[in-house]
Amino acid sequence: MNGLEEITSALADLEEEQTLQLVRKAIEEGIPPGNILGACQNGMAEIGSRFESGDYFVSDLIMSGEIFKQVGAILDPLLESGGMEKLGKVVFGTVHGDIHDIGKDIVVNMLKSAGFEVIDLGVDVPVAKFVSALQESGATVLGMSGLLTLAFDAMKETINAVTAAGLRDKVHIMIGGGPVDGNVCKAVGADQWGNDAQQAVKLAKQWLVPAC
Amino acid sequence: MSKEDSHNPTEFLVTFQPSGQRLICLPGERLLEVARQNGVRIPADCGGRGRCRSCAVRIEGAAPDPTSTDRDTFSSAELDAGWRRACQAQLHGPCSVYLPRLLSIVTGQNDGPSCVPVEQPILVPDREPGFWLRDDYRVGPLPGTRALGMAVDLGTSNIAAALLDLASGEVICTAAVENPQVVFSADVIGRMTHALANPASGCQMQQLAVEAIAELARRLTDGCSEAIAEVAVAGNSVMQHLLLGLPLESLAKAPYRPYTLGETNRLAAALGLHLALGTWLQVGPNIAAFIGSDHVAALLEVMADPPKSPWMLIDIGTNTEISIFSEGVLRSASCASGPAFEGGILSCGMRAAPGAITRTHLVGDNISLETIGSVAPVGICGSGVVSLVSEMLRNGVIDKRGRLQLTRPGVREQDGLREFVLAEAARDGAMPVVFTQTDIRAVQLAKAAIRTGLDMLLESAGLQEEEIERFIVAGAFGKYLDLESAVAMGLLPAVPAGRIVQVGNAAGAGVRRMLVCARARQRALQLAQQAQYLDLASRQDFHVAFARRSFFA
Repeated sequence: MNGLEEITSALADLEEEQTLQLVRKAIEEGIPPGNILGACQNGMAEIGSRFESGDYFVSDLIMSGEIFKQVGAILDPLLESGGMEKLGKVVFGTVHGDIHDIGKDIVVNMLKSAGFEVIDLGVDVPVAKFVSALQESGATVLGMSGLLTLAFDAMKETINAVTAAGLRDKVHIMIGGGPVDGNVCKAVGADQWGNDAQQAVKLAKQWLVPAC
Repeated sequence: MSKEDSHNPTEFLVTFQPSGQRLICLPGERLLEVARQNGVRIPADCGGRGRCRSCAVRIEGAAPDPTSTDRDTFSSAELDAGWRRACQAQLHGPCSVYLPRLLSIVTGQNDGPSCVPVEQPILVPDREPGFWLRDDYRVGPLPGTRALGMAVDLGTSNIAAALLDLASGEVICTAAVENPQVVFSADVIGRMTHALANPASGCQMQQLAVEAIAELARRLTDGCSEAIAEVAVAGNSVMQHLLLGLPLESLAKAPYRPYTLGETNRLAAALGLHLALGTWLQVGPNIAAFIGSDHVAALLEVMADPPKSPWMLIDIGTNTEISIFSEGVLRSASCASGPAFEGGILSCGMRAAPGAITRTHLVGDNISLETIGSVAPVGICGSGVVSLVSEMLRNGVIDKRGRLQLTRPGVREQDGLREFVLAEAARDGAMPVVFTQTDIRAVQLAKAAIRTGLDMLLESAGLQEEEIERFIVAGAFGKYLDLESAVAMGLLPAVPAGRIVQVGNAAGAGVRRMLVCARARQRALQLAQQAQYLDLASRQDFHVAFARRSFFA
């Protein structure tokens, strides 16, 4: 195993300390930071598939996000402005009236590690903030999360506002969260729904990276 | 809708067994809905969303075609025998529905002293015999010379009540029933969701709670409910809101504000409770949206004979409340632990009833099980879950991340889901008892929620776990918990031996104090106001702290 493969496998095994050590060592050895980031992205992809197979659990995803964040803090200053080329922009947030952020953060981390630029609006996000973030960033994907049944109304409201702003046909909309299903998706007027981070990544790729 | 007087030619009869109750149904009606509308109790732990099998019933006659998720839930033998989930079953013809027997009378709720002190009585005799005064209000006439009161611990799963002599504080008798609102959902979030989606459901749940209290009153007084002259109720905030018919909107969404935090007094008659004329019902004060008067009552009970400080009190349930008392400061937090330890969402979870596995021992390939009543295993209850998970950890059946290991004996994979077999299917068609990977995940989440709360409270008080002098575990689950297993799986902190005590239903004991004594009510109010509420979920480091605690160290 070379240094980069070691990083991929340490991250995939969620070995926090080891991953960070290996990343620092690779930098010292002069391995280009972009390649190190790539190795970490491979590790995150492996974590995603272990999650899909049931070997990993939500908590493991949270931990992977935490490790990836720490790796990012080390690598970001070394990467050239803008870092790696991004696959596209995604605006993401938990809708107003709902402050659940665990699921939202996992999805945001997975999207980031898959190479997307994510504008994370946080939780309890007012309708207008979603709309202005879409306008300012020019993002063409909107993701909304909500764990409460009450969040559905907020999702619908937000989508109506996106339509009113004349953005609806330019923006793909995905929703997710505990009680979300196909019926909810239809009722609120979203394009797609998902119940885990992997699906969010697949949808974003499908919409923004037609080759995938 | 079932209408007894309609003459629609497509209608047909559905008979519920063993009660024999018959209903007229129309094609396409969902069994669970029909049952709810007509007061037939079928539990629905997941709220009727097809996520669990708690509403499993056996249908004879025109059994509906199984849905695809039914096929995942039941074996083909079970499907052939007519097993369906009531939430999924769309009726299409005459049939008999066999309900599993529910234990409506609950035991093990009657902890606490047989007499509580009355420093300042709530009712004093009026001049006219048979009448009493509650401040300026008259209550009566009462049939006897004593004024009786009822203390109610309004739990999400069970409702426990005690009858007391209001003058002497003597506990005359106790009773408990299952909370009939479980037909809507096992947990408070599910019930809130139903009430918010449909106001009629909210009214129905209010009525169910009132009827359960009325039934307890009849049972406690041998049918002479009008002898009861005062009622005190403690419960979590959702139970209180539903009982009083208070608006739930602000409680259901951030920033989670209850309609009221203070105590609430209502005339019992206004709620539909037929007790002595002029009887008041008081619902106790709350600390925060999800730390209700039940926790205040438990704190009151603990404070009545204060342990050496610093101490902690934990009441584990679908919502777990924890308090820490150190250097005169009381801090409280609530954790969304979910129903895993009440058996609620587990594939083979059940209440502590005959056949429930309470202890497990794994030695090599051998599993030995202890069940309530020493009968063949039917499912697993909370104390069994804790015992099992600690045994699985000790034997490497699960790794520290909670993953079931296929190489270990007893572990198999069915349709991509791993499970640990506790008891194979029996020849008489009894379903196997298994503990699945999903069940373990549910336990991990519950444990993580509780430990994050515990550890953050310790941190806010500047204490290490070994510095806690008394660790008090309250509640029905805590009462039967094997402490060694609970510490081994990391659910409870490793405090020095002998410092963990199991006190049973402290909330039920505390509400008795509040029932009879004005001073106790004042103290409860002070406790509720002085407790510092620690909002865990708003902390930046909550997720990672939570994730780390979902693993087994």
